[in-house]
Amino acid sequence: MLFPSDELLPTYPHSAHPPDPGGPLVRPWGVLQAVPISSEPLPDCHPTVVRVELDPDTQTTLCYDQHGYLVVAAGKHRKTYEWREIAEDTEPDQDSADGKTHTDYVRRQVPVD
Amino acid sequence: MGDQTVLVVTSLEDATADGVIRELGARGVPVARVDLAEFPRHATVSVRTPPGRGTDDVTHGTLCTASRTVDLTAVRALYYRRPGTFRFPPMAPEDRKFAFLQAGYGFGGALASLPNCLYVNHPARESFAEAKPAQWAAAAAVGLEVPPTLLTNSPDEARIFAAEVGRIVYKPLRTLPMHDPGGKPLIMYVTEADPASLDESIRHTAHVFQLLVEKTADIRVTVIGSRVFAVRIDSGILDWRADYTTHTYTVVDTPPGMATALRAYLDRFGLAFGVFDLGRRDRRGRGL
Repeated sequence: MLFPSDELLPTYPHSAHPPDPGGPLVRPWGVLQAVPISSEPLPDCHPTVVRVELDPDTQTTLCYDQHGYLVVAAGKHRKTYEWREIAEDTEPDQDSADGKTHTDYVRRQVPVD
Repeated sequence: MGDQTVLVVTSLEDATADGVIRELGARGVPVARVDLAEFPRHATVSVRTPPGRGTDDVTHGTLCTASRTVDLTAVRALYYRRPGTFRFPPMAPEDRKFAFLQAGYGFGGALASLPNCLYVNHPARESFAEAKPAQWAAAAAVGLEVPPTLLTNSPDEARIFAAEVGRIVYKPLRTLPMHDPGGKPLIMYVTEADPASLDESIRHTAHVFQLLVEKTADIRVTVIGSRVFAVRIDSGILDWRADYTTHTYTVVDTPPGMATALRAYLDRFGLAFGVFDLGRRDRRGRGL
């Protein structure tokens, strides 16, 4: 903050620019541009942190949920699934003249190590 | 604590600072963490003038938190990352004003005056660097292109600017936590401004309007010291913060000229660390 708020400055009884000149409330144009945060709600399984405290040894934050359990942060972001082209044999089409199975290539998510 | 402590000034809720502290711990670097909100009830600072003259070792003192005692002359680096603000016991309003000012210039002054300390970043320099006009001037000085921009509280100037440049966006100079009457959190994204909405309420404070730049992607560049990291963000939306589900991230190389310009930008403000949001366009060029 380059300049302090008037709450921290002295006021003068005869100032030409009193802190609050009175009158009806106004709203700056910019403040009306604020919108609700468009975030999706957290899944039910997401722990709710209700208390934080400092770990005196590591100087990191310890987070506790509503049951008093320590919420452990996940490690580095890691890819656990990836999209792969997988060959799948389809069931024979009943209308198929030859009655044979066909191989389709489909994209599925598969776990990776 | 012994020599070479890194002092981390941040809130207890800051997960990014936790990541930095864990990495420092893994490297065996002694760390002390303090939040301005701990002062004065849970943190104590004492600083004395040095004996004699002719020394640049100007600050002798200690900082005591609930879990650390720090020799301020031995702090090798200070990581300043969104701390809280001072918390006082119940006081009369006038007394609280007094206490707040003394804490800012006293506790804050001590932390801002550490000898031989690498600041990441120095809070006073960072505060100045957050002024948009200073940013535009610095960007132009190092060769970055800034789209046509207007800062004003004049409704007439805003309307003239919109008529001159075409489609414009509104950008707040600073953001702050906001809530609607029902208590739900609000946020300000960069949004296109309808020229017809530019009314007399612009008079009530400073506003920034900027030419809406057609971009193909956003590039977020992080600079720390001499190292530069860039990631391309493809979102298809004007402000990528508005919908994280639209993002595709790609690590990209920073052109040497751009890296040099960004480092020069930070040097103008005396900053070790900075994050830049750049817009990528079809034609060759740089933008902020």
